[in-house]
Amino acid sequence: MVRGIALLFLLFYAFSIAAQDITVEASINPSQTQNNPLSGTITITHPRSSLVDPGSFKMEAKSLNAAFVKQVQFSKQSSADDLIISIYHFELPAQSKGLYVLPSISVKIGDAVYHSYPTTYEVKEAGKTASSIQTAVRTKNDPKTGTPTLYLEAFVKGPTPVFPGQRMQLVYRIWYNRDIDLSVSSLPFLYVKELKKIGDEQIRDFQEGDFTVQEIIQEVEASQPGTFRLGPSVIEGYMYEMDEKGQKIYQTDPLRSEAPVQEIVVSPFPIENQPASFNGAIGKLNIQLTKPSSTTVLIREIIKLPIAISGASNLEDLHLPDLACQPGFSGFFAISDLPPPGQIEGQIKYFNVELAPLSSLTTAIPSLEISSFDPATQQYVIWRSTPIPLTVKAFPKQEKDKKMSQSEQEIDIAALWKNSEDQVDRIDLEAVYLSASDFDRSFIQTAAILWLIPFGALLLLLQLRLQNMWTAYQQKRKNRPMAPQLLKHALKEKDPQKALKALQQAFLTQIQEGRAPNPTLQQFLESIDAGLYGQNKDFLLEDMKKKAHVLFQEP
Amino acid sequence: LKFFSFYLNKIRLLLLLCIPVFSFASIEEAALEQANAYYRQGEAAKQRLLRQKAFNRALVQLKEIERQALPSQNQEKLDLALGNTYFQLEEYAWAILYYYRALNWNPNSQIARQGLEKAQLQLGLNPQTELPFLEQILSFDFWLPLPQRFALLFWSLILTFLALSLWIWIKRPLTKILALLFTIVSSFWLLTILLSSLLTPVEAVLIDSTGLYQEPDRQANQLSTNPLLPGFKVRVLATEKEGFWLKIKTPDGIIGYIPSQEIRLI
Repeated sequence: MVRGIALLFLLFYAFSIAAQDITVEASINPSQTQNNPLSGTITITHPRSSLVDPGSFKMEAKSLNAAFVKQVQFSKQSSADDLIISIYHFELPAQSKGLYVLPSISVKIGDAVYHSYPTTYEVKEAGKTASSIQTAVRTKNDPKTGTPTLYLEAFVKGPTPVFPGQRMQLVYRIWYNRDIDLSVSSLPFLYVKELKKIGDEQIRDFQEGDFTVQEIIQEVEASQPGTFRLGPSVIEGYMYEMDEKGQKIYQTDPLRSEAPVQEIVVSPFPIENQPASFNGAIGKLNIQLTKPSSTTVLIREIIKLPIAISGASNLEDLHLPDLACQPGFSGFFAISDLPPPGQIEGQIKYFNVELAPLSSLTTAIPSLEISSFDPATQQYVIWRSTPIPLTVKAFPKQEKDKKMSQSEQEIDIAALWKNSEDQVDRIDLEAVYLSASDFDRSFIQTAAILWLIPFGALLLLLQLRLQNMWTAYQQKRKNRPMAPQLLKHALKEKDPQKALKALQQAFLTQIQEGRAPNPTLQQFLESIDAGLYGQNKDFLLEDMKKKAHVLFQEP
Repeated sequence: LKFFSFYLNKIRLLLLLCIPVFSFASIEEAALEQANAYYRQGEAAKQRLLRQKAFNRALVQLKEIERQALPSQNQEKLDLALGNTYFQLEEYAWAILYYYRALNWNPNSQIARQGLEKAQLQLGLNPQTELPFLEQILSFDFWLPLPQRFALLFWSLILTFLALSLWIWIKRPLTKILALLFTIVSSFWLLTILLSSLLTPVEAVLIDSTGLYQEPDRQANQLSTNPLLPGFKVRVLATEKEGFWLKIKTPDGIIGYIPSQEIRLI
């Protein structure tokens, strides 16, 4: 049956082609990407008798190299009037991404020259599927009427105010009523860095009256508070029309449109009344906690608590608060250091919390608090589960350890939560405020003063040495010969009696200091005695002095 | 001249050695004011979250100041401020550690003693006996804090050197008696300081609970069924395994090993 239909279809197709004249069709193969040579196909339907001149292919009055690929005939029996399809392959230089028009290609078939119709093709960005708008826009309405217009609209679609974790759409709309090749396209929405991009931009075209509208939407997520200015956004391009040969005829004046700066204010979450369990969840949460099947467990036996959360606008970033920081968990339950990852199914995120009681004194799974921020009311919403009674059985050998203080057994979970409520009392503690002088520390109050011991000892040694030197000096001075001094004194004396006494003392001292007496000295001393104590006082003092001087020098 | 140049070189060397002792870093007044301001904010806050934020900021500031402060500077008040801040943040083990450090600077600090008692009360710890009686007597810390004894030693050393100098130059019985007297006084203060240094043990405070192990290994047997609690003060006897484990002695006299990450030296 299917074969029959296919045969009929082929016959019908063959007859319909046979009824047509010579046709030339040229097209660029689909899925062309930027920066790669473009490959195209020329399909010529012609009678077998009319030969195609392979060297006659031209595009925009320039020669085009086209390679023969194959010939397809419609019937097995060949005759001169049978139509055949000749397929040629050609290549064009690489182009940047955008929409383009393949101009008319001419070729000589038989004696006449035939032209293909201009067609469009798209060069895509490598790895992207969305069509690009950044180099050309091509109108859908035909024929073109009205004043050539190019208008860029830029706006932000999303909640106001925006809080971290919320998403919004950055939207461009390009209104135009002519085919335009864009020469300038500055569209900062598409390259925003301050906000987290969610996927690639989405592009769609639609008709709005006489205008074709190209809408580009980039979804972003606010990741941090702040004021971000995007823009201005600008597009500029040249309108063109195609002549009968498929060539573009550009308008001389460019069309330009500029959209003003868009300011996005991402507000921080209010600090006031922020619950301790808040970790960035946004929206009104709907939380379902499934109670464990058995509430009687052994110590360290894992209890699974499935939690399903919906209603969060940032479901992907939603995490459970750290249970170890919540009252009644730490010390009573072993909790994994890694938070449960959660799994999203539809609009619900499922978490599986695992707890293992550490003591037989644990009487309940405490109230679990999850909070979120509702941007609509700008209030925090707190959800608390009801405590789940639990009986934890100890292992037999640990039974005797149950005797613990009564106070530990009566831990009131509600009271623990009360502790984490906003209002707190001042702690009675004597405050200590610091000033730079508090760090001052006298040098003498530090171990550094121990340096004084070697330093002082050194000074004492120095003094001892000096003292020894002084004593030695004194001793030396004491042992110096006195005789020359006495002689000097005697030689200066004018009074004869005193001079003689002095000379006598000088020579006696000299003898005392080691001079050996000799007859000459003895005789001289006798003459001094005679001068001092004798009757004859007639002597010349100056002669005595001269003689004494000479005598003193003798050995 | 040779004699003088020899001694001059020695004096010059001593002065060079003294340079690090005399160098003091100045703590920025602005940083201190900021820490005080945060602390005041924390005290005035009525909401738990705001209070914690303010005290956390104060703590960050104080820790930075602690990092900048030199060992030669008086850190008694800084340790008190850190102890108080940790107390306000309900980190009682850390508060105990810093109160003990403040008491090391000044054993008679009433603020440190009160804070320590309160923090120990919060953790359910009994006030620990500081040292055995004999060691307390011999360490002299309760008689007179170490800085004061250093000051006394300084002045007595000055007088000793003066008296000895006098005796060197004037050898009279009176100068001899004076020199002997001041030498004895200086020796006494030096002895108390040395005894304090020798008898004061290296102590540490547990900042997290841990078991007491028979060997420096987590797989080893534990010496007690009850873990050592945070805020507990122990004596450090030795380090093991490149400092990752400490050999300690509890006030009950049990000697064992604990991981060094659970403990901080006072």
